Amino acid sequence: MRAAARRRLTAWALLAPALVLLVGVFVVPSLDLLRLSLAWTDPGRTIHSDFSLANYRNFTTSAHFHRLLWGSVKLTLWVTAGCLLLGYPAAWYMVHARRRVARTVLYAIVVSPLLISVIVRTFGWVVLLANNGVVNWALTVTGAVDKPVRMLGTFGSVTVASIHVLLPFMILPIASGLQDIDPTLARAAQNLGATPAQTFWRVTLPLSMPGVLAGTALVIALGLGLFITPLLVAGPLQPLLALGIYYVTLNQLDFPLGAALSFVLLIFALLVLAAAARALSAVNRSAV
Amino acid sequence: MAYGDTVVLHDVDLDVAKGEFLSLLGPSGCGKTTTLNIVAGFLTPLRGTVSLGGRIVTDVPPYRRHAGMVFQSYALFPHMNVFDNVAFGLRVRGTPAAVIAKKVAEVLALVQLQGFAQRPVRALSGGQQQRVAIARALAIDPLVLLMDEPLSNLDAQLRRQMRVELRRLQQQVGITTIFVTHDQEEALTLSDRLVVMNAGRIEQAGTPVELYRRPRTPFVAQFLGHPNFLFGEVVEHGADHVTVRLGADVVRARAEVALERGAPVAVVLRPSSARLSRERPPDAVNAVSGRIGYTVYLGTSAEYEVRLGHAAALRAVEQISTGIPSFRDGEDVVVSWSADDTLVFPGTEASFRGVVA
Repeated sequence: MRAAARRRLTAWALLAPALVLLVGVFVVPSLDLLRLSLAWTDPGRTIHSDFSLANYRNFTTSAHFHRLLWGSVKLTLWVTAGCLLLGYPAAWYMVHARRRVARTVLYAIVVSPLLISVIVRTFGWVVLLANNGVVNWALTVTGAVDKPVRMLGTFGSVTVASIHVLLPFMILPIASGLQDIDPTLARAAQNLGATPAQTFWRVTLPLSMPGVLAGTALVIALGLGLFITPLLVAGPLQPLLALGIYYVTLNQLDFPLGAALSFVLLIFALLVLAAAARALSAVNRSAV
Repeated sequence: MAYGDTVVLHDVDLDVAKGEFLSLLGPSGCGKTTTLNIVAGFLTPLRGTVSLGGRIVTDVPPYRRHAGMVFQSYALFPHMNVFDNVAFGLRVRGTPAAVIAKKVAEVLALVQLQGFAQRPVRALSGGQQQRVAIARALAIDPLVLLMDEPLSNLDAQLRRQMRVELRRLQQQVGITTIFVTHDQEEALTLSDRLVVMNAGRIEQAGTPVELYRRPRTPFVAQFLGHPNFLFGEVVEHGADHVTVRLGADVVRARAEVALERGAPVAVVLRPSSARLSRERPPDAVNAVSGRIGYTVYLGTSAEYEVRLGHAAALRAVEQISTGIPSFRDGEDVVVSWSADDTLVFPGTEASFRGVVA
């Protein structure tokens, strides 16, 4: 009994630093944000802190905000799909490349962007996609188009740049999931008559699902909150909830409404994570 | 066969008869698993051919070879239950569901796992996983069953039990089997034919009795039963025997090759062929005196290390029905044996280094 008590104490002691940090910089500000979201702003921009659901009512009844939320959801779906399609093969090759050097180099290529600021990486896309940018230059020089195509500011450019920014968060969990699969299983499948394609669909892919789900959850959560990348590539008027929050907070100075919209987005992201966690534990239960 | 610049297999020429149980026996790194992987198609030999059921399959990918393999780690698919594991090979061939159900039930009955079809494989014991792995390999009616140290992950008692069962199963199904092991006891009990491999070469192939009774090389002799190697030189060579001086003693041994007088040789004597007594037996052809160094007590038998006069030592095993060893450490004894129970290999003591542990 005393040993159990001591073990519990040790557990708390080990968790304490992280807990203090989490409570201090996430839970407390979030609660403050929640309190702020329940205040209201009059047309003269004075904030009244008496309890009101006006901001949430505003969100649920405003077609504009629905459009912004749908824009965020649509972008996240495209980005997640893009990251899955590009990330899975890359992760597979990263784990299965014959040569050790190839694996190390690939790993470095995947991880190195994380060492560079998102702003710098996004500016790269601005340079590439601008009307006088590299891509348009190449297209005009080769005669593929007569005059530059507008790419910056489009939904497509936001999607492409966001996929680039979030791709490592898809590749790394999938690669670590693939790494955990016993290579003998693929041999066993082939020995039993499964072609390489059958081996992939029936053995490798199902067993890599924990990694796929983890990567998907990460990319969805980060995708819903994407802010800098769409702002730089497409400007503040792109229909995305994160940009809408920025606009009402900093241009309209309606802090309570901004707080309420932030909360909507946070709850959305938490729901996605909860769903992913549920799916993950179901997959793990069937696999383990 | 080579990895990089390291040649791991040289000129391995093997023929396995239909229905035969063949074991590849050797220490780790001898090339036995490589040989198995070449047959399964996971590795391609630099030279030579592999044929299965009369068809040359050297360039055929593993999934079209029809060889069933039982892996050392069993390699069961963790995301499937027992039924789906066993049905896997049939499903990828597009076999109708009704045929699959019948075949799976049949092979599960064969390995005595009726009623386990719906269990997740992680919920099974090591022995049960082993049976599923065998059933899964048999379900595709393979041309040959390949087993890579399948018993090495089981505890000693289960291993003995599975050994008997494996033999029964193989004879019942009548399937050609190649079995890889480093355990001489396993190889001796299971095999119709035994191939001892060393450093990528076949040392000797034959029935278990042939190899045990008449090992052709010191390596085979050493690997099957860890006999004593007593070093001396030839005094006289007869028609089928040779007289050898071992320090102060002169002994007679069976010899099949002609040896010159004075040639250095090793006389090989199994511990179980050496008899111990307090007095020199009157009828003994070979008898040397020594003193018991230490005893390894095994219950039904005792193994003594006997120090001989000339700095050499030999091990002798006594079967003891009473459970009490007849000799004590430090006791003076006479070790005697029949010339028929010995073998002679030419070579100096130094030349046997690396073979004789």
